[in-house]
Amino acid sequence: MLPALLVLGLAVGVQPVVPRESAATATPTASQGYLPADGAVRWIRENPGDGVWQVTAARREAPKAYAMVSLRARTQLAELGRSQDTAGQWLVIDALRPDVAGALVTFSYDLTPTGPALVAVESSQSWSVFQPGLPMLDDRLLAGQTVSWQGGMSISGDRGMPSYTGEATAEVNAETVDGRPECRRVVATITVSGSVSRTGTTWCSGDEPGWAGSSDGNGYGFDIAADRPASAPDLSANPAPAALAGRSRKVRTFRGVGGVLLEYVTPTASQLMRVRDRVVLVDINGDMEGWAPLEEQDPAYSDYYLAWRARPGSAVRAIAQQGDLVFVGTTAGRLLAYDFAGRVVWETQLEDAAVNVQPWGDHVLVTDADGGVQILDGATGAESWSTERDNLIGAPMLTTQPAPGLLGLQTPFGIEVIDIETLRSWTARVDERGSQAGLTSGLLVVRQGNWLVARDAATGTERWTLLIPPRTRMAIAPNSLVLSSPDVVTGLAPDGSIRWTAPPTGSVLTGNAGTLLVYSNGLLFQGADGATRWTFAADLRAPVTGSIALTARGVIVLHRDASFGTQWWEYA
Amino acid sequence: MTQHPVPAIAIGVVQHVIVEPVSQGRLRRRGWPDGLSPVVVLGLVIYLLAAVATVANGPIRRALPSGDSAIGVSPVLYPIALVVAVVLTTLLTTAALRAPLLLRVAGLVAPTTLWFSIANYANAPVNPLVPVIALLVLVALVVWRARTPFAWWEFTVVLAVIGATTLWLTWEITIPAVRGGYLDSGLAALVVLFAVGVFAVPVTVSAGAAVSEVAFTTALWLPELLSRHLRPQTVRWCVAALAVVALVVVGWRWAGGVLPLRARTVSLLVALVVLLVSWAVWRALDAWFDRSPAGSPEWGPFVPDTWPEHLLPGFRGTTLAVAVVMSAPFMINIIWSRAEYGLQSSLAVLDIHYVPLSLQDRLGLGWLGTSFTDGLWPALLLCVVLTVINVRQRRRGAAELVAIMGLLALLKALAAAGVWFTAIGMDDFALAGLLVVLAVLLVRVVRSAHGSRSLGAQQWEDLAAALLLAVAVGARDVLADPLSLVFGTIGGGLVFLGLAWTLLTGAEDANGHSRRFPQPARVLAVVAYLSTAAALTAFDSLAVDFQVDLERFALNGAEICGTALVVAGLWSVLLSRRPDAPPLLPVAGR
Repeated sequence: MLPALLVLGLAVGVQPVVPRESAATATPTASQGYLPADGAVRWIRENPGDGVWQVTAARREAPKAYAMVSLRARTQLAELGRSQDTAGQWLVIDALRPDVAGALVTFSYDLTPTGPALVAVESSQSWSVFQPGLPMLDDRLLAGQTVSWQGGMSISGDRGMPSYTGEATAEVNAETVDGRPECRRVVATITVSGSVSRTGTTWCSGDEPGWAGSSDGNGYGFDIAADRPASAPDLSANPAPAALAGRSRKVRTFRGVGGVLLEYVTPTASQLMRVRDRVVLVDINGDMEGWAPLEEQDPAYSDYYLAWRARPGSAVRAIAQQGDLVFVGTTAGRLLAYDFAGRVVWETQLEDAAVNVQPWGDHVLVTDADGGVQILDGATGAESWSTERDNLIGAPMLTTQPAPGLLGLQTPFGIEVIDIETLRSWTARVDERGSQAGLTSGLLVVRQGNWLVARDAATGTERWTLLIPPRTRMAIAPNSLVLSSPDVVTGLAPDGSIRWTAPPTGSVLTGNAGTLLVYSNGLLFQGADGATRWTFAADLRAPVTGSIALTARGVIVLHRDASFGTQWWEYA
Repeated sequence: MTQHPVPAIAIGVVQHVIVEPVSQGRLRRRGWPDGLSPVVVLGLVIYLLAAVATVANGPIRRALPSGDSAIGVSPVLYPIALVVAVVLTTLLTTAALRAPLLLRVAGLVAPTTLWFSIANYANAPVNPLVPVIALLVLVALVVWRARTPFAWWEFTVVLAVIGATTLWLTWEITIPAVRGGYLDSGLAALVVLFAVGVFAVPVTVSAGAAVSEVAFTTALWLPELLSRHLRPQTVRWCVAALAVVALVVVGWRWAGGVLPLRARTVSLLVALVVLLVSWAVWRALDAWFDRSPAGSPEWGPFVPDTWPEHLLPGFRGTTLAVAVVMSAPFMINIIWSRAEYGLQSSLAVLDIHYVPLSLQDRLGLGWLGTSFTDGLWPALLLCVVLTVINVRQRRRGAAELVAIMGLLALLKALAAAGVWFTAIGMDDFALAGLLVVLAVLLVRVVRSAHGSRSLGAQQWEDLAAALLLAVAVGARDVLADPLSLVFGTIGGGLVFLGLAWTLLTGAEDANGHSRRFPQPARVLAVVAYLSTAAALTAFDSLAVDFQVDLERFALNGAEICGTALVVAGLWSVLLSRRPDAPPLLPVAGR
């Protein structure tokens, strides 16, 4: 009995380790049903301008959410007496107008035990902060009571500097919304030095709780009205970068707040991706950011500004890019297509967690943890083909040659190469251990032991074989094949002949534009026009493969420096 | 009423291959002291829940909130993983109170590794006083309780010490880290569980080998049962049919390989050479024993432990020893790196700053290979030592079995070192074995036809058993793959089946008793290590992506130890029997 009691006590003792879904979960209130889910996406119509905004809700742990508030706003919050939150969660709402450059408004709510309290509203034009947070939804408001608030407030003025910092009062009320009985519009009437302004938020309950901001005082008035706006993404390949000259420079990152560009703490990410002229950062914990290039201000630097932010909900397990779109698969089984402006073009729900996403011409192929493989229309998300392999090994392999393409699925029984149009298939028996395989240029290439075998992907006929050195790894992309041995890196042509060689490295990144070799002290890009080399600055560590993107300007790399800080560098 | 032969044979196979080993090898409560049963039940409940979670991993994963864990483990599993890790660590430490030195060390290092794994997430110096005091209490318990009988309160005290310390570290480190948003609780769940699970890696290796026992006993019993229930003429036709079917199936698998024909031919020749070397080793040891004056005169040159059924009893122990040595570099590497990461923030207070590394990286031994493949060389050395020991102890069959294990370990080590022609697959082995058996079959049939040596029923049985054993070399994945279909993850089948088989049939030693390693400690050790491996397998299958990959350990066990058992069985039925020798297996019911 005693051991059982001890185990029970231990189980109860470690319960607080589970991250809280929200304060409302910890202390159930009527407001709980009005809070949007993490990663929920809504479209709202701007009343005065008649533009359609995309709203993304994100739950973030308080310290991280607080750190995302701009430095200027945080300085004012500190002046008003707010210390950095160390626990709890925030609800961060990003309202983005994809058709207007820089139109990004962020609402940061502290999810207090009684309900969400507005702490900061920031846009490229203005910002305002509240200390303590302005209660914008709680049981008293839902019961029809008026809630009085008294605290500190700071508002931006010229060039983002505060125009007012001091005492403020507010009367907060909830009212019904015409034609939307499930919604409540909460309006705060704020009095600052005798002048009155209003700000509000509309919260809706139901199966898919929603949010709409209304910040009349700052010029915004949002309604939940618009459907997903139509979009016609271009899925043609991104153009290759201009001629590379072996030049390197540091990247500076900025954020437009209150009418000025403020230098922003260097963002970190587990994956970099290029979408048109933008760089998209995806952190595996579920944060995404789109960074757009700025006009050159200082030739010593390459500058980017934060164009959009998103949170697909849960962790990002798989990403891929094609044309205008970046495809994001999450552990919650969502697959979303974001365009270069941050707009969610479509989304779909998978059976299980997404584990792999790959572009395939104007389609996208997604694999889930249950072995489901789907091919979707890249522009619409409509399913065009699907299959299932419970014991799938690794990611599916793809080739677009011969058109429309072949799909390779590896299971313990071998690699099944399927023509998805005729559904004809053949299987290559491969020892699942110690082997690598991939489809490229109409070939199935298998490295098994010290052999490299190329078979015709369509028929299975053996094309060529090579005996390769021990411990050789293979990097394969739709139109490139690279071998990396302890002595040399070799680029092979589709007929197995050697195209180029380079000094050895274990870090090889293959892509359509060429092959990037990462060394401890620099990079070597092997493109169609020859090789380009760059040397890292002295205090930079070699980047990992995922944190490299080939952009229109060149290669963007996320480095760790000697003091474990993060630096972006551009190699052009 | 005469029973139809097919159901009778099927029932016989199930009886001899499944039921008998389970009834002989299961845990028996007889002689257990008071208080042991609830602890064992607790461990078995964890095993059972882990088995259910492994089988139903997909629906469970989809039912749980996904959270934002990078590896797709639901955050709600963190407290469960922590509690399971604490209970399993407690079982390991309680078993270590009166156990051989290696288990005692493991019993004390396990909680320390668990605490290092939690301290890894500290972003401020951790006061080491609480874990140090807890460790000293555990050391004192190990010293004090070594020569005393099992007492019911031991588990409780150890649980209280480990549980309280873990709880304290959790409150101090984990909860602030989770609330601060800088701890991936899904990853942390697997990290704490693997801190304990790393001690179960040898059990996973031996579990992979255990699956071969099923194939081995099936191959021996099926011909025996065919002989009992069918006419001799029918048995001969069965052998002929089996030879054809085996050749077609194994040949088809071999011919379907993706490698070019010359590469496959080289691999097949190497496999044949390896088999012939194993045959030469077997014959050399046979000849040495036969010439040895210390040979057993009453049994003549055929010492009983070379018969197939005598290879099995010592197989588990030998496999476990090889597994421990094979896993040791990997385990030490993990434990070392946990210590470096866990101590980093505390040592910073003493102005000791460093970048945490694994032991292999710290010593600059990356050129040796991975910490996983490094274990093959010491395993080879152990096999050589065990061969010598068994020879000196006049245990002919055990010496021959472990010598073949050493040969296969050498082959795998050479392949890992990049010697290209040594990277041969199980299909090559299966075809090579089958060709050898078919050659023997052909020679014996021709001899019989010419009247030089007639083939009796027993010899037909032996040839059938040899054919089945040759097929069994490549049947490992056939056994595992259907289960992988059920589990939805590659590798789940081999590990899961091996662990279940080991739990059901491998407790014979645990039912024994010695002064140095008394029964309660044996029982606790068996339950603790198997439940730990099962729990790790379960969390591995629940994660969307987890890099531990237990399957490779199980595969090493299957391919080195399991294949050695089958090859030794092959030579046993072909070489260790004379026409006038007694039957291989008990003849009751014939």
